[in-house]
This record gives sequence, C-alpha cells and structure tokens, in this order.
Amino acid sequence: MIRYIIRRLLLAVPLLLVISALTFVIVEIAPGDAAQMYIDPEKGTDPAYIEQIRRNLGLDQPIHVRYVAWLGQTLSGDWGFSFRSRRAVTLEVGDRLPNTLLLGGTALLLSFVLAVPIGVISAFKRYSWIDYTVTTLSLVGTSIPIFWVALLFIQVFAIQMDWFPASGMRSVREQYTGWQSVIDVLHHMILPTIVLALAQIAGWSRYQRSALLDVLGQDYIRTARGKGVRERRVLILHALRNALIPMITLVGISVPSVVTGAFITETIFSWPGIGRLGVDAVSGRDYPVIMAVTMLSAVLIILSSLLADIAYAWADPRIRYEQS
Amino acid sequence: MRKLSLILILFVILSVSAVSAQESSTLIVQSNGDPQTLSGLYANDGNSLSVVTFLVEPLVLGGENWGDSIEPALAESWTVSDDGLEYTFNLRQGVKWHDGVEFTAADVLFTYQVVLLEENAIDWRSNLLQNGEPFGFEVVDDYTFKVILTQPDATVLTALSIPIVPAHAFESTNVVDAPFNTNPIGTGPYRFVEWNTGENIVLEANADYWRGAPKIGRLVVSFIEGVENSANALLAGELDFARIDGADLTPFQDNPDFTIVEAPRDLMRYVGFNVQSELYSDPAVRQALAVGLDRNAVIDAVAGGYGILPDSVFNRSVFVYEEGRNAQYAFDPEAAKQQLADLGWTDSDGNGFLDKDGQELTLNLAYLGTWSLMQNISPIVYDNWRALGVNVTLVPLDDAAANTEIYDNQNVEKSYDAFLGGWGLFGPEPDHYRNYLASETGFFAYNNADVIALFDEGRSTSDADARYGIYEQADALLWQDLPLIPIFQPIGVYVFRSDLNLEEAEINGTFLTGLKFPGNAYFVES
Repeated sequence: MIRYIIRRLLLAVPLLLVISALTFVIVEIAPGDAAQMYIDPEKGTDPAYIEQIRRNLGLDQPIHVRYVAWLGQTLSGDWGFSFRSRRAVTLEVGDRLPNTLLLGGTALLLSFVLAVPIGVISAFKRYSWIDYTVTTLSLVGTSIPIFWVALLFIQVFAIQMDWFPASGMRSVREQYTGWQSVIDVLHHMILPTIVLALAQIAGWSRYQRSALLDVLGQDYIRTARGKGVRERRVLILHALRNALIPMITLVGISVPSVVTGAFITETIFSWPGIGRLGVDAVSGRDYPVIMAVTMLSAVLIILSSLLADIAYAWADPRIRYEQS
Repeated sequence: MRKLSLILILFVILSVSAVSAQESSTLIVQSNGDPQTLSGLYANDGNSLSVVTFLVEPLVLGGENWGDSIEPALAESWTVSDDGLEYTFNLRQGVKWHDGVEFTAADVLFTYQVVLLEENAIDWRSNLLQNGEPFGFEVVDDYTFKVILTQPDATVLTALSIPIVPAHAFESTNVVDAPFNTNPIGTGPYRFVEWNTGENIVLEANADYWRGAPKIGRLVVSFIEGVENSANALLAGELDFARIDGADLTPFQDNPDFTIVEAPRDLMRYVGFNVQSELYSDPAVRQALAVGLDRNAVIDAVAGGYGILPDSVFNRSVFVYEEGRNAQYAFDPEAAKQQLADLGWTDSDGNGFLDKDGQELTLNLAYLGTWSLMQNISPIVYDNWRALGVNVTLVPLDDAAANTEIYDNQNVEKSYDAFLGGWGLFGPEPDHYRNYLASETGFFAYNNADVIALFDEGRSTSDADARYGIYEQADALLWQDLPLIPIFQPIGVYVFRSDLNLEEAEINGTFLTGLKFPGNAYFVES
C-alpha cells in the first residue's frame, strides 16, 4: 500500500509540470497581456508607457524564459507578486483560501451528513410517499440554478425576514471581538452554506438511494435475510456499509470543487474567497495568481483522488492496488 | 439539540442587538472589488480611486480624476507671470500628513520627480512634459513652489493636478514596489486603517484635516460586485451608499428610507467615423446618418432609459458645455433619406441599397465584440441605417484585433468606415479631447486644420474668457463636422440612506472627495 502511495505521488510530479506548462501557454495565447489589461485602450495611451509597464512586470522576456524563472522561483517557495496588486501571491492566496475552505468545507460536510440519511430513508421506504417527496424535491433541487436560489434566499431571509446578512463574512458596522466575532462569521455563513449544499444534497441523496437499492438486491443480502438476521441489522451492517463505498469516490471528486466551484455563490454573497480572486486574475492576465490558483487546484485534485482511492481500498477489501 | 437551540438564541440576540446598536458614525460605501493600488500616483481605475480620493489631494483640483472644476486644495493660491511661463503656488501652511509630519514644498517636488521617473511607469508622466521636455520645478521656500514652462500652456493647472505624496514615506524615487502602495499616508479627509482583502477597506476621519474634521467618523469601502448585489445589500442595511443603475429601483422609489440621486457620468458611447474613408469624408453624409439614428431607442434598449442625449461632442463636465447651444440632430428617418438623396445617393439599381455613380453606400461598422454594451448597440445602428439604404456590415472584433484595428492611434490608415466606441474623459479640461478630435492618427483619423488651430490656440491662451470663446467655436465646428455621432452619456443612479443627510454632512465640513463628484472616476466601471 505504501509503495502504491509513493508511486502515485511520484507520478503526480510530471503531471503537475505538464499542467503548469499548459496553463502558462494558455494564458500566453489568450489575447492581451497584463499590461494591456491594466490600461484603458480607449485612452490612446502612449506605447512607450505600455512598454515600460511590460518591462516592470518582466513581460518583455520570451515565454520560455519566464516559465523557467517562474518554475525556479516556485520550487524555492517564492510564489512571486501579483501583477495587479503588486502584493505577494502567498498573501493574496493566503488571505482568501481559509475563507473558501471554511465555506466550502462546511457545505461539503452538511451535504454529506444530510444526503446519506435522506438517500437511505428514500431507498429503504422505496415507493412510499417519503420516497416520492424526496425524489421530487431533489429533481427540483438539481434543476434550479444555484444563483437563483441564492437570490431568492437573500430576498426572503435577509431582506424580508431580516434573519441573516445578505453579504460579506463579517459585520462592518459593528466591530465584534472574541467569541462574538466567531458567532458573527457563523451568522454570515448560514445562507451561502445552505445554498452551496442544496444542489449537492439533491444529487448525492439520489446517488445514495440507488447505491443502497443496488446493494439490497445482491445475493448476500438475501442470504443474510434468509439466515434470519434482523432487518435493521441487515440494513446497517450489511447493506449500508457497502452502499457507502461509491459515496467515497463521489465525495473525493467533489473536494476540489470546494476550492474552485464556489465562484457564483461567493460573488452573490460577497464572500471573500478564492473563486473571485481566480476569476479576477484570469481577466487581468495576472500570471502569478493564475498559476498559484491553478496549481493549488491541481494538487488538490491529485491528492483528493489519491485519498479517495486509499479510502476505497480500506473500505472494500476486494480492492487491492499492489502489483500482481 | 440543546447546542443548536443555544446557537439559535445567540443569533436572535445578535440580530436584535444589530438593530438597536446602530452607529450613525460609520458610512459604508460600495466598490466592485479590491483596489489595484492605494497609491494616489498609480490609482487610475474605479476600484482604486474609490478609496484613494479620500486619502490624498493634489495641489489644485480639476485633474482627470480629481473633480469637476479648478479649485485650490493643497495650494492655497497661485500667481502666473505676465508671460504665462511661471506659475508660483502658495502652499497651505500647517497641513499635516496622517502621521503628523508637516506638509511642505519638498513633498511637492518629490512627487513630480517620482512621476517623471520613467521606470515608475506612472500614467501622468506625459502631463509634466512640454515638447518632450519636463517642466522646470523650483522649491522657493517651504510654502512656495514654482513651475517653469518653456511656452505658455493653459492646461498646466489640470496637468499638475496629481495627488501629492509624502517624501519622507519613501526610501527612494523608485516607487514601483514601495510599501506605501499598500499602506498609504496622505493629507486627505480620511486616513487609512486596514485592508481586509476581498472584504473591505476601513478609513478613519482625519481630525486634523485642514477643511475641518469630517462629520462621519469611520468610512468603510465594502467590496460588493454587481448592481443587484449592491441593491440587496442596501436593502439589508449592509451598505449606506452605492451606485446601482441597471438594478431594479422599485424598492427604493417612494421609500422614505432611501434617497435617489441621478447624475451624468463622464462616459460617452458613440459611433466614430473614419473621416479619411472615401464614402464618409463628407460631413453632410455623417449628418444625414446622425439624423437617421434613433439614439433614444439605444438609450432605452441598452441603458434602461438612463442616458442623456448629447448635443455636443464634449462631455457635460467640460467647462465649455452648455445645454441647447447646438441644434440637436433629432431622429427623422424621412429627412435623413432626403438629405442623402440631395447628396446624390439614390437606389438606382433597385437592390435596396443607395448608390451614386455606380458605387454602393457600404459601411463597415467595427466594434469590440466582447463588450456586451457594444453588442447591444450594434443591431440598432444596423437596423436604422439599413432602413436608410446604407449597406451596413457589422464587424465584431476580439480583444487583440480591436487593439490593433481600432484602438491604435499611431496610424492614419484605418480599416473601418465607422466603429462603436466609449470613452471615459474626466474633468473640465477640453484639451483632454485632443487625441480624439485634433489628431490625424486618432481613432477618427480626423485632421481638420481649423479644429487643430483652435485646440492649439486654446492651449496657449490663459485668459479664461478668451479660452471659453475659442472652445465654444471648436464645439460648434465639431458639432457641424461630426467626426463622431455621440449616442449617449450614461446616467449614474446613486442610492443612499436618507438619514445620512450627505449634503448637510458636506456643508458641516465633511469633504467627501469621492462622493462630491458623482459623475467622476470614483464611480467608473473597472
């Protein structure tokens, strides 16, 4: 198992190199560079001034020279400076990443905790009114665009009811300290977390339902029942444990979306996360930040799929990764 | 379950206390996102200016991002020598930087030296050049500063209207990566407190401000993107002031809690002609096309009615602008057809398009295809002019192509007959329009000797009345000649909490630089 993990990690190195080179080239091919994005083309700016900005940003160097320089810097732990803000990339990303992880992680947890029981009940009480209600609701949940739900929630719960804030992560007018500030952040988190979790819950609970139904149709379940094992025991010990295995993969591949997928929700709720940072960086052709966000997502995808595979092997003794 | 209910109770307490503990001394204004810089020298985009205009000041207001008229700021007064070559500024005494150090002429000299240094890549550098050579600067004493020109130039006051930075806050004149850019010190009404990236920037009233301490003690610039999100935040009480034109205004109308103010923005949407092109070199054709364009329909379709129909090629903020002085090109398709017919353009071969001497009236209309505003304007222009019998072809360009084909002011040869454009030109100075209206290589390739002569004369004339007369002539001439058809100037809709009483706050000494100029760059889209 350890040899397998090491092999996977070693394989990730060339993969990351290819991803970084590709990203670099794609940003280069995209029309316009950071200097052009910085100025208003309609102003008819002096070309010498644009050249000066390019020189200051190092954009006058050919692409391979810039890539090698970037690679060397990054490997030595220096992520460079943002073209737009001239702040260290580690600062830019470091300020935002925890906020995104907090929101996305909570939403992921909430989705899992709610989707599994909903799917189980729905499968266990198949074709009951509960099942039909859940099926209808999850159909509605997956069909409605996330931004619409977000706007509806803001209208109802933030503006009409005034229960929760409509924007931001912390109150601005009141300056809370200590535990009050923690409660304040939690208060701001509720609406965006629910919005982020809703679509996930709808999809996952369907997945859990069909996985459980699949297992319940297996021969060993019939055997267990035939041996006179109590239904509750059959469900929890025999069926559910096996039905959770596909969920591991599902959650595993959803982890990276915690970092990358929350852009719409972050914008609508003005959440200071990394999604907005990434999109701003792309539209400003801000290489250092684009590279940092891309590499971060790539590492996360590789790690979470590795973790999912390991967890899979642990949960399902039939799966072995050792070389035969 | 017990814990859950405890948390719920805490939330209730929190929301109740949030209502009762309303602090009147915090003002929360909206901005689209993190500024690119907090240095007044680099701030040139809406997000940065929305913060920086509270922190720093130029010697004289009236520059591109710094107000609607020439007014004394850090310079109390100034005198001009009889030959118009020497400007002597008397600086305000006893003004303190936010860190307590006194402001002197050395700071002014330092600022202009920094701007002139090429490595710094500061956009205002060309402001301080005359025929490629920098102005002469002289520190006479701590409170007297002299600017020496080689030839008279009436635009020098707006050119010098660059925010002053403190010399003692920098280690050298190379300021590209100076710590100051994220931790600024100024002389303005507010001082910088903290920058919470992605969330907001907090400013605090400068009690020693020379105009008097601002009435609002704490000012927060909150980053909320998009007008709908801003409108929601206003309704939820999380914003006090925002520009939300384009959002649904119904909840704010007839609502005593909010005040709505409308003001023209210094942006212009226009159809610019390639004046050197064969078919559109005749002003009479351009005038006919202006009469044949339903500009009000454009305003309704793309700006929800929030636009002003221009009657000048200058923005309203320019000092020479006067409403109603020029005759409007009112929409009248029949009259437009008649005008074209009088010029000899008729449909002689019956193919639906006008022609003259065997040549068809074709028009290539280029625009930046990735700009949704231009996407929305183009079909209206297309329909209107096709109805006149002009064979219009739309040419949407991507960013790179637009940069070389349209936004290139080095070549006289243009590939288009006309293009859709939108400028943001700020402040009262008409000379800022020189690149567009008095330059052969400008976007319109417009080379009218009379206009150029008037712009040159206007630049070298210092007498205010004489200048007004010169630009008044230029305005009339340009409106006749019509190198561009101005379509509309957008109107900004500003909504703020009524109990803030912003007007009174200003009278009482709060000089909210950004808020005072609602038409200006403070609110420009980034």
